[in-house]
Amino acid sequence: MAFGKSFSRRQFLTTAAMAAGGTLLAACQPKVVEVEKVVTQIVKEEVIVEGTPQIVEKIVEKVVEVAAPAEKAVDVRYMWWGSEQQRAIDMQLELFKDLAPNINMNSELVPWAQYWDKLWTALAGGDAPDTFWLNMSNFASLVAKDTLMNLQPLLDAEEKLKNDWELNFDSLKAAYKFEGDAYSWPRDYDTITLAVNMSLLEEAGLSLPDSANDFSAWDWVMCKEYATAMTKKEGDRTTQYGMVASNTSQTGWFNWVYSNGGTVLNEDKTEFTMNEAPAVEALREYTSYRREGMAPGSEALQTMGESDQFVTGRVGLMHIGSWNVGTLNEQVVDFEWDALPIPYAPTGNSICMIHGLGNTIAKSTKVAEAAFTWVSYLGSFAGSGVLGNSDTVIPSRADTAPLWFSPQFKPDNRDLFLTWTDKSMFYPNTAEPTSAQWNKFITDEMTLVLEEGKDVQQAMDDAKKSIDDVLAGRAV
Amino acid sequence: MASAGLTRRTFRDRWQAMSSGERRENFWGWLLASPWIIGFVGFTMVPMVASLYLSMTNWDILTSPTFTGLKNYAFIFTRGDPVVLHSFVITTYYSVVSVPLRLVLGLAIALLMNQSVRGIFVFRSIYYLPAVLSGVAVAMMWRWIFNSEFGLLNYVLWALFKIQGPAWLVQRQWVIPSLIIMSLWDVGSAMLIYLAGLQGIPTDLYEAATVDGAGSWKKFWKVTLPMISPVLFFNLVNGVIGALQTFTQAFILTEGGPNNASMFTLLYMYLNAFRWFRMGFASAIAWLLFIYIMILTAIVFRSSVGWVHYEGELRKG
Repeated sequence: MAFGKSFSRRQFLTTAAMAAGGTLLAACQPKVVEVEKVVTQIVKEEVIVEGTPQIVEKIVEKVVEVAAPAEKAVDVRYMWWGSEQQRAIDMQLELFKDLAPNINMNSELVPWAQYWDKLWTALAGGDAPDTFWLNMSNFASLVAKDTLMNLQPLLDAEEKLKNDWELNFDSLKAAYKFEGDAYSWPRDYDTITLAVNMSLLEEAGLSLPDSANDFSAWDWVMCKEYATAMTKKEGDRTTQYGMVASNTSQTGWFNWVYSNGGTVLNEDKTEFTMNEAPAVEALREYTSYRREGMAPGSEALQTMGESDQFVTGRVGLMHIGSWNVGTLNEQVVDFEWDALPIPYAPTGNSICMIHGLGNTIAKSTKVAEAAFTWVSYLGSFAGSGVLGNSDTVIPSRADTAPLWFSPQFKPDNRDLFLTWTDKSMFYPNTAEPTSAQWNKFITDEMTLVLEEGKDVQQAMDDAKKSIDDVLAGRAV
Repeated sequence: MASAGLTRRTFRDRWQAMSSGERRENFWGWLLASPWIIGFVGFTMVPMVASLYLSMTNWDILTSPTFTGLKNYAFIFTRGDPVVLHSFVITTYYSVVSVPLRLVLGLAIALLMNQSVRGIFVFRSIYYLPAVLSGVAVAMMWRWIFNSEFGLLNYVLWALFKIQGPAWLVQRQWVIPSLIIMSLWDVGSAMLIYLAGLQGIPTDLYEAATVDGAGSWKKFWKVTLPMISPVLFFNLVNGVIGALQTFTQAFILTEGGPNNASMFTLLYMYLNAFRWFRMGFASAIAWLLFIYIMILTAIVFRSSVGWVHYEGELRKG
């Protein structure tokens, strides 16, 4: 992954200045540009207060060009998950109303647990939403099944749109292409770090590890020391845990496996490789937190989810995806928190998972043009900038992503989510069979390791038998 | 040959042979039954036939199904996916324990609720109340009851017996017993049917038994049980079918875990169909479950000849 490094304050200000101009350009999205309209926009400006430059937000009115209302209004459905992003979506919808008054957007929030069931069955039943969120894991399957609209001809038709598309990070653009054409417009990306409770850290007599050389001192050994120091027991009962090591891939063991030089699948994705030595060693390290009583077991996590455990000050360290940073900022009130990278493995590497999602149009849509107007608006500076400005998710555009890293947002080490894009691996996925079909075998085996102490090597060897069968099509 | 001729009679022949009253009765009969007939054909029969075909295909719901013959079934029986047969074992284990427990508990409560005590209607309502609550809400409540740290069940176990309760829904060996305990919660609907049966027993039978010198226990065995045996039979059949179709509790509370320890057949069918979109394979599981339920129900029906008594029925042989 090569996204570029973290940016200086000057770069930030440049970007902020671009926001004002960008909104003007972005407003020209719809193809028919006939009417001018005054809209309210938020721009950032630098002001000098007592000799110190500070960034302030100002509300200004801008004259923008918008599409003339069509004779008949068009309804467009937009399906998404992630209620924590409600405010960003609302803001995008509100701004879009001004830009395209002839398009009625119907926003459909579907919880993550039901999202894929609903999307697949809706696609199969011919009742798919016109536009929807699509993550990389499911993109591969759905595009291969000819269910998504090819955006390429529409992108190629207009220089402005092509430029907007090009501003997305290269790896994200590549992730949403199929046979050379774009089938989903990148929306955001996410990386993983460890959230740390600063109060518990101080109570344990510790401070944040040295940040020199990208926190290179922060390795497996130090992480274990920190977790040990932050674990508290009263008799047999653990009252405070040093770390959360839950049975999850993206915000859990995959990060440790890749950091230690392990892989999940071989290069041509025909074989499961997590039973090889580097991966097994990483999983042993990861699960040792649970075995040694430093991480809550599923009993404790059943009582209270890991995020709630962290927010209520019960755990010291927790894996966190960038999409949850805003929520944590809202919910953590009694203590300060900060971010640390995934600890460096003995290989000298700290690698995190990177994933993302795009705005997609169903091939079956009957309002393709309006749907594309919406999706291209979301991909414009104005639409994408809302995500960065609202502390929700990191936008996929090189010029709007920096907004998310504004110094006005907590935590202090927020830029780790950007720095680590250079040290990240894409979430491994397959088109056929779908990733979900083989992922379950890893989770099942990891349950046995975490809950019943099954040997990691044995567990991964067992998972390999099942997964290789699935990958080779030997399983139904 | 006469009977063959009879069956060959056309609808028109039969219609013409009817009196006008019969015709009207037939017309209204079919008309009033038509919503159910249309519903059955459209929403049950056609999907069932379609699923039989689909069970012989590989279908991800988005691309066309490809015919694979009996491969899905062969895959199950050669333990290509061992979870399917495992799910049948789990489902059977649950049913074998929970169905008799529900029968006995339902009957016991019904006997209590059949007493002439002041305010018995209040008690009856209280015992029936759980049966009207939604499955999902009940499951969420039981999640807290079973919570190993703060749950009511472990609290009571510790407070009364000084027993440290297990992690009910988290440990493999305890997850099915947990769901069995939970299944006893809504025994009220079975109780209501028993109660109706109990109240239908003529009091003169008890009076006759008393005259013959029978005690309460004997009256229960010789009068009550035989007289409510059709109700018992009905509850047994319904209980077996219901238990074999267990889904909500496992879906909400455990998602089949830990490590498939509560993977009921219906849940695994759902996961295959709507989580992994292996619709053909899921259809094969559905058909195996259907056949399994049919066989067990047939066994229960066959056995009923020996123990179910209908009032006024003449026993042959």
